[in-house]
Amino acid sequence: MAVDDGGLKPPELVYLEGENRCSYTWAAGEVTGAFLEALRDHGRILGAVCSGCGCVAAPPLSYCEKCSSRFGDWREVGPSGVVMSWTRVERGYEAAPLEPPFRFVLVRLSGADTEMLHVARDDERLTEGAVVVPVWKPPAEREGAITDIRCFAFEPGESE
Amino acid sequence: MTRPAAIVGTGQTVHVSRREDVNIPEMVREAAGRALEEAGLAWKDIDAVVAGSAPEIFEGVNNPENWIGPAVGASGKPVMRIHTGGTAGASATIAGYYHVVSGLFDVVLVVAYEKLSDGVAQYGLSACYDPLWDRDFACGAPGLAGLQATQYLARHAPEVREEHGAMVAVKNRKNALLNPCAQLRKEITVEEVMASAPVASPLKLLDCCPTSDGAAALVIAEGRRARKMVRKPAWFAGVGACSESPYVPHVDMAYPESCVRAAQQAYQAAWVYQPYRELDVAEVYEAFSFQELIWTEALGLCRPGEGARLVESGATALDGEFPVNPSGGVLSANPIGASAMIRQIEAAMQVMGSAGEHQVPGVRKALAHSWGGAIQFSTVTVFADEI
Amino acid sequence: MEEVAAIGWAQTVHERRMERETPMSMAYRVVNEALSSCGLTIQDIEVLIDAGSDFLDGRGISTCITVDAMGGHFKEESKVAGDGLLAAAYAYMRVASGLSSTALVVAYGKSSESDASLQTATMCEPFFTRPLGFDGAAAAALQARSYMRRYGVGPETTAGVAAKNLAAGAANPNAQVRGEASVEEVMTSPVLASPIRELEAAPVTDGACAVVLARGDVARSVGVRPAWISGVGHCSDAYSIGTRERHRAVAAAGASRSALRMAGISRPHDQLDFLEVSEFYSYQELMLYEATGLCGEGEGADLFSSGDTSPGGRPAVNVSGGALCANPLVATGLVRLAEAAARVTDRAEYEPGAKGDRALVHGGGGLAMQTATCMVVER
Repeated sequence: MAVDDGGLKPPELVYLEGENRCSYTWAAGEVTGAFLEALRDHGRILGAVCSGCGCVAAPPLSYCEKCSSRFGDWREVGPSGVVMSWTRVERGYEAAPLEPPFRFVLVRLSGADTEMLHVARDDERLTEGAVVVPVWKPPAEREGAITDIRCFAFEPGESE
Repeated sequence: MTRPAAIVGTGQTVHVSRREDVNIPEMVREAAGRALEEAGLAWKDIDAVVAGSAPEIFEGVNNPENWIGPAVGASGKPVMRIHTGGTAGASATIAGYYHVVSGLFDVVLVVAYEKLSDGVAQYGLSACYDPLWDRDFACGAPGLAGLQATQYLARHAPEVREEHGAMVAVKNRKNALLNPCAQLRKEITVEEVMASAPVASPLKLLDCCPTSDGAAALVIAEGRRARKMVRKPAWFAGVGACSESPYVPHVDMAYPESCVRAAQQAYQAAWVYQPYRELDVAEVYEAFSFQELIWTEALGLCRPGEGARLVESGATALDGEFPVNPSGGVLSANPIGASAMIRQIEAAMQVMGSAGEHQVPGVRKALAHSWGGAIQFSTVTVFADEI
Repeated sequence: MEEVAAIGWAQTVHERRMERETPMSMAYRVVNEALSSCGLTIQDIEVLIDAGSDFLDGRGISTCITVDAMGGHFKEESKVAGDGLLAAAYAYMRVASGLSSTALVVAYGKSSESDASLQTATMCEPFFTRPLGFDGAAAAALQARSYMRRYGVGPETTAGVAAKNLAAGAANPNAQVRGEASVEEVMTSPVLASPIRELEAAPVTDGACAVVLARGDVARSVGVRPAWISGVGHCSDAYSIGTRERHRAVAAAGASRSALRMAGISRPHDQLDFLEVSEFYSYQELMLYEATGLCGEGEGADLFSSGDTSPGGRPAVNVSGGALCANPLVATGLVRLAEAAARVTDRAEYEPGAKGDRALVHGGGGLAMQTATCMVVER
C-alpha cells in the first residue's frame, strides 16, 4: 500500500497463483475390474446381467442403476452397436480425448440394455441409428481401461 | 413437541488400511446392506438417502453421492450429501435426523465412507488450509494436533504429562481387541508409545490414528415405525453442533469453545445436567491420543486438566466407572469421512445392546462426539433407550 | 411440522469476474444485506446451512474458510454439497422440525478463480467417463439431442428460449448478461457441443446469494411480508448417462411432484403464476416445462410457442433471465428462490415481467440434470 499526503491508497490487486495437483489410484472393484480385464486381456466387451430386473448393463456400475440389485452373470455384448445419441465437440480443452472436432457417442451395443459412452472421430455418418464398431488398441498397449477401445468408428477396418 | 426419531439399524465394514477389492460404491453398499438387515428393511423401503464424506479431493470425484447413490438404492429418490470435513459422518446423521423430525420422511438411510487408498491423504488434508494464510505451512493434521497437544500440556503441566496421552492410546488399542471392525487390533504398552517414532511433538507414531478405508451406515426411523422395527431403538435424545473461526490462532485448541457449546446444546435438549453422572458411556473422536483428554474436559465430563486423572485412574477403561471409546476409537480405525458416524454408531450400539464383546453393561444414555476442520467444527449426539 | 417462510434475501450483482472480492467478502455482503432486508441480526440466526464447491474454490471443506464471514462463528453450520437450493431444502427441514426458529442459507461461487468446467469434469467417475474427457457440456448435449430428436424439437425453439431469457434478463439489475440476442444470433453463435450453441449455455459467473428462513411465528412478527414455502422436494436420477431416460428430466419430475403435492397443487399450469428454473442450457427449460407438469411429455416446444411462458404470459418462466443470464455455481438455484420470493411478496427491486402469488422454484446439479430440488413459494 502506498501512503501519500491524503492517506492510504487502495492496494493494487494482489493475486496468488497455485495448483492442486493430486494423483489417484482408484480401485476398480470386482464388477468394474472384470469388465476392464476383459477389455485388456481378451478384447471383449462384457455386459453384466442384473439378478433383479434382467437388465444387461455395458459398461456396468457396481450395481444395477435401475433396481439396485446385484449383477448375477456376464454376457458378451457387441462388438458392434447402434449410435443412440452423439455430440460434436468443436472446442479444445485440457482433458479432450481426441483432437477436435471429435464426437462423443452413446452406443447401444448389441445385446445390451444400456448405452456405452465413448468417442469417435468426426464423421458425418455418425448419427442416430448408425452402426459402429470399436477400434481397439493393440494388445500390448491395453491397460485395463475404457480407453483400451481407442474409439468407435463407422466401419470395420477404419482407423484414425 | 419434536417428532421422535431413533436409529434402528447400523452397519460398518471391517476397517483396513487398503480395500483394493472394492470401489467406493461397493464399499458403501456393504455397510448399508448391514444396516438395512438389522432394521429388517429392503432398499425400496428407504424414503431418502443422506451421505457424508470428507473433502472430494481425497478420492477425486465431485459430488460422489451422485455416483454412489444407485449402489444404495437411491435412483429416483431424494439424495443429499453433507460435507463438513471430519465431522461429515456425524453431520450427515444429524441431517438424516432432521429429514425425519421435519416430518418430510419416515425412514432415512445415512451413509458415510472414506477410501483414502484411492488418493493421497496428507495432500488432501493440507488442501483444507486457506491458500492465502495457512497452506504454505502445509501442516496436515498431525502438525495441528501436535500444536494442540503442546498447548494442552503447557497449560496443565506438571499434573498432566506426555505419558497420559500414551495411557489413552494403550486403553483404546486394548479395547479394539474386542471390536471386530477395528483396523488395529494389537495391544501396546505405555513404554512402546513413548518410544515410538516422533511425528509432530509431542505426538509420536503410536499417539496417532491410522488411515483407513471403510464405510458406515445407519437407518433412522420415526418413532412409531422404529418401535416396530427393533426391540431397542437408540432414540435421539439431544443433538448439538457448533462451528468457529477457521483461522488456527483464533481457536483455543486445548479447550475448544465449539465443543463446549455443542455439548451444551445437546445436553439441554436431552435434559442432561451432570453428564458424568447421567451418561453411561462416550465415544469421542480422538484422532490423536491427547485429544481424548481434551474432549472429555470440553464435553463437561470432568473439569479442565482432569482428563488425565480419569484415564490414569482407570475410570474411562472398558470396565471403569465411565468407559470412553469402548470401540477402540479413532486410534484403532479411521476412515475419515465415516469416523464421526462410527462414533454415533458405536454409541447407538451401546444403547441398543448390540455391541457384542465391547458392550458396556446397563447403558441407558450414550454420547457421541466428533470434530472437524481446523479443530473448528464439533458435533455432539446423545442417544437414550427411551424418549 | 411448522410453517416455514423465506423472510429475507440478497444476492450480488453477478459478474464474470469479481476482481476485488473474495468468497469471504461476497458472503459477508449478502449475509448482511439479507439480514437487514428482514430486520434481523446475525444473533437471531440459529443455524447456518451453506453450499460451496471444493473444486471451484481449490480448498478442502471450502466453506470452512468462509464460516465466520457467513456469520457462523459459534453457530451450528453445515455444508450441503451441490446446489444452494438443496441447502435451502435442508434449512427448511431444520425450521419445520420446530427445533430452530430461524435459518440462514448461503451459497457462493467464484468460478473466475479456477476452471469452471472442473466442476462437472470431476463429477465423472474414474472408470468409464473421466478417462474419456467427458464433462457437463457434453452430457447436456447428449441429452439435448435425445430429447429434441424424440419430440421433433428444432434448434429455433431452443434458440427462442435463450433469446427470451436473455431479453428478460436485461431488466434484472443483478444479472451478469444483460444484452439481448435475437433468435438468429443465438442460432449462429459458435457451437459449444452440438446441438448446443454458446448463447444457449449459462455463462461462467462469480456471485453469491443468501436467504433467511423463519418459523411461522417469527415470520409473522418481523414486519416484512414473508414468502411462505408451501412445498419442497428433492430427487436424484440414476448416474450413468447411458442408463438414464435422457428425454425426461426424471429428477426434476420427482422433486416437483413432491413439492407440488405438499402445496396442494394438482394443475400446475393453471395454479402457478410463474416459475424460476435453473436452465443451464436452454433446451433444459423445455424439459422442465414437462417435468413440472406445465404440459405433457413432449409438449414443451408447443407450450413455449404458445407464449404462456414468456414475460406477460402465465405461467411466465425465468423472467429474471434465469441461469442463462447469471450462473454463480453453486448459488444459481438459491438465486431462483430469492427472485421468486421477492416477486410473490411485492418486494422485488425491479419491475419484473411477471407477478403473482405463487411460484415454483427449481435448482439442479449433477451431469445433465441428474439431481433436482424444487420449492413452491407463495404469498
